[in-house]
Amino acid sequence: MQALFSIYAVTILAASVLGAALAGLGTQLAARDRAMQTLCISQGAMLGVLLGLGIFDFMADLALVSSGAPFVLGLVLAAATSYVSERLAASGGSSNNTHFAALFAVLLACGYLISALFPMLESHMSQKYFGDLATLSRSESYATLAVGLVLLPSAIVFRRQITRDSFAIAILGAPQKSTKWGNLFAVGSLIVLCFCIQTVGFLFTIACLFIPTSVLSFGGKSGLTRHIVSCAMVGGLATALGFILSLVFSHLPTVPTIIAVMTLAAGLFTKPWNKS
Amino acid sequence: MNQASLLKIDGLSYGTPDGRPLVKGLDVDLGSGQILAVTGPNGTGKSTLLQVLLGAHRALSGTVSVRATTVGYLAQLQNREFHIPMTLADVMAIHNSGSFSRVQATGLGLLDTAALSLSWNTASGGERQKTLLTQILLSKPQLLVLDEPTNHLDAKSRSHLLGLLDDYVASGDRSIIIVCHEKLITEHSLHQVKVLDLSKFAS
Repeated sequence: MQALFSIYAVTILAASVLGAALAGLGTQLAARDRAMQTLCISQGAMLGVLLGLGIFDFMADLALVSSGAPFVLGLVLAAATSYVSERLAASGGSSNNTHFAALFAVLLACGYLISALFPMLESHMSQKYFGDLATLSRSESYATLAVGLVLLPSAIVFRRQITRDSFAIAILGAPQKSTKWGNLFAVGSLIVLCFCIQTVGFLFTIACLFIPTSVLSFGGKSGLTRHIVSCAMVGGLATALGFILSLVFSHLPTVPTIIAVMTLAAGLFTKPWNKS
Repeated sequence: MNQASLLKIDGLSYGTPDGRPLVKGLDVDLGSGQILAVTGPNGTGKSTLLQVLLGAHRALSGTVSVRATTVGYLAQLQNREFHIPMTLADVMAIHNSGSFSRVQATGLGLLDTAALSLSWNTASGGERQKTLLTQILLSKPQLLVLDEPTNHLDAKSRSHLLGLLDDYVASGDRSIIIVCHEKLITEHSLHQVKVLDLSKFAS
């Protein structure tokens, strides 16, 4: 067992740091009421990643495309999805969530169509949707750790500046011009989402983004710093514990175990606050 | 005395986003030390005028020249809950990074120390409105644009706020545009106030 842990030490650390960072990012996306839009953008990124993998496989012999193609295509399609979803939201009519749900269905169908065009993608599609952190390569683990180490301190240190934009969008409804923080947040979120979809998968990404902040928003005491730090702690610790449990009990799948632990941990974290 | 112009509007015409004309031929010259009270019945385009001034809504014709170096805008309070459970002190802190202090926040007299510990999501509409007004007054923009700032406030707080606004323009090179109902202006004696009744410019 010790040998197993030493093999996975870097991966566990990387996934935990990224889980904590995503939980911090998720608080701001939820505060902007962008959870459904984030699902769409993630699905757009997934479509691009699958397309990139398909093209890469098809043209690999010709060496015309690099292995960066899935990430680049993921980023392009995520940006396109973001643009379309913003336009839909600005057009009025039905509720934003209705527009986003419709867009999500279209993107999901496109992903399925692409996997039909490139049959080798079926296993990739399953991998990208449900992920398996235990299969991350050493270089992917280091890249994941690096992204987490940039994102986590940013989400905490710059929480006031980012929350100011979130508050203006959600509460003041004021006419918003592009701000430095707004642009940084939009671009940074897109890059992080694409990276996460490609490496740790759709399910882990969405779970870390929204489970901690959703459950902890039921907590009794208010406080910006308290909420963001608590979400990050739940995201990070639950990822580590869930990952280790799935190694100890080898029949447990990694990501669903992490999500079960995360939900439970967030619930436990919330309960003592309600008593005070 | 007449100070430098902070806002100049010439021959402005604008309508609703779906093209219904609202206002035609509006001219305004707002100097520092003045308050412009924008009044008129519902649907005359008071809030839309603010959006045109802030560049968020396109005019049909005319020009708007905002000469103030800093502009602060407070929209009508929608009274929505915020996903992140923040205190009113947090709301102050995110808007006044680095310079927020409880002494400053309570010094204006709209909020007391106990109110700062309240949660935004459980605070009353009045407490929320006082928080937003306090933070925007503390940020000291040269041109302060307020849309129905007395909504949710009781009579005493309304009177106190108008006194603060009077002091605000008197204490520096600043001016205020305030969307409100005419009754508010007639009931309270504001100095240096110009009333702009938009119903006289209806197209």
